[in-house]
Amino acid sequence: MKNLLSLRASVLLLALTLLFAAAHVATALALGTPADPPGGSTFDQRLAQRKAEQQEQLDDKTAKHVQSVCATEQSAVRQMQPKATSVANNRTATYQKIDGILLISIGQLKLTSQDTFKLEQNRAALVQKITAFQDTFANYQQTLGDILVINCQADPTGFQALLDTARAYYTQLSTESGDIASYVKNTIQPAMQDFANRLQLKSDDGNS
Amino acid sequence: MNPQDPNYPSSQPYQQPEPQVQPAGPVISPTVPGPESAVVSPPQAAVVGSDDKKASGPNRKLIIAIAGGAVLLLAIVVVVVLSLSSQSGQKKPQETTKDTSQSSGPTPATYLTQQQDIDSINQNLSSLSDPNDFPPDALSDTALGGN
Repeated sequence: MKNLLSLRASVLLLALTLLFAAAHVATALALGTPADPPGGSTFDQRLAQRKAEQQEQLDDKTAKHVQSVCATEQSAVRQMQPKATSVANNRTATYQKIDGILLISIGQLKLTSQDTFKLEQNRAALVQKITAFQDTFANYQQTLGDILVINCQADPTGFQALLDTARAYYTQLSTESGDIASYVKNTIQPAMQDFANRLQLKSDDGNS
Repeated sequence: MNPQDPNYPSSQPYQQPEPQVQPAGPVISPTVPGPESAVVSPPQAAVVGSDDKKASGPNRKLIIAIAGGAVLLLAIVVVVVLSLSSQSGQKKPQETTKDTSQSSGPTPATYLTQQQDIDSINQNLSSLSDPNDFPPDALSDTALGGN
């Protein structure tokens, strides 16, 4: 009786896990972005996840074409990896500089008894966007690494799934980068300019 | 035996035994060294000779060596202490010279500081507008050489 109960519990737990994973993948697919692989995942686990996400179905002709060009593509990916790292590191450093300027500015505004609640919320949103960019870049880098590791001759479907995942992450990186720039330009800078105008008015009133 | 007999032992005057005069210094026996000499005495070759000047020669050298070492150690300690005290004396003025920006703390915002912040954010933003950072076809089949 006890064994039957524990068996039922195990089956239920497994079903729930599968359901959760499927929902996670479905959500990611619905959003058009690959899902984050679980922390500490192995190459095989990530490959299985990417295959499930991308749902690649290669016909014989396409599979043979992938097999014939994949080594060249792997070589090109290997060459572009350092530049991608450099670009992402430079951007992250610049975002952090902007965040630092904003933080000091908020502190200075507080000293003049300005209500900085909204600006602090804006800063929190910016930090969240920067973190998302960093996470996407980490996933992108890992996918590029997986592309280099996979035996593409033996598994063209897996190679294609990884390549499409890297493309999706790359598009996401470009989008997130543009989003951060426009957020700073259209939301944070006008808010700061607003404070600057108020301070100017205040100093004019003080002088007159 | 008769007590009247002149040969009777008690009739003879008692003779005190001659006191054995021992020398004041320690007796160093060449053959059987006493327990004290076994601890103190140098190796047997020196004992056999039983010459005081010869036995104290190495001891004197040892004492001189220890004294010399102690003086040398003391000199080293003095030099180290002096050098450490002179270094700490040099550091003290450095500690007192603090960065004025740190000591003054954050300054209240003014129109000028706000404008400066906006300008530096603008400069940072302009450095991010390089279109080569994310070219749209970077991972296309053509760019990767896969046709």
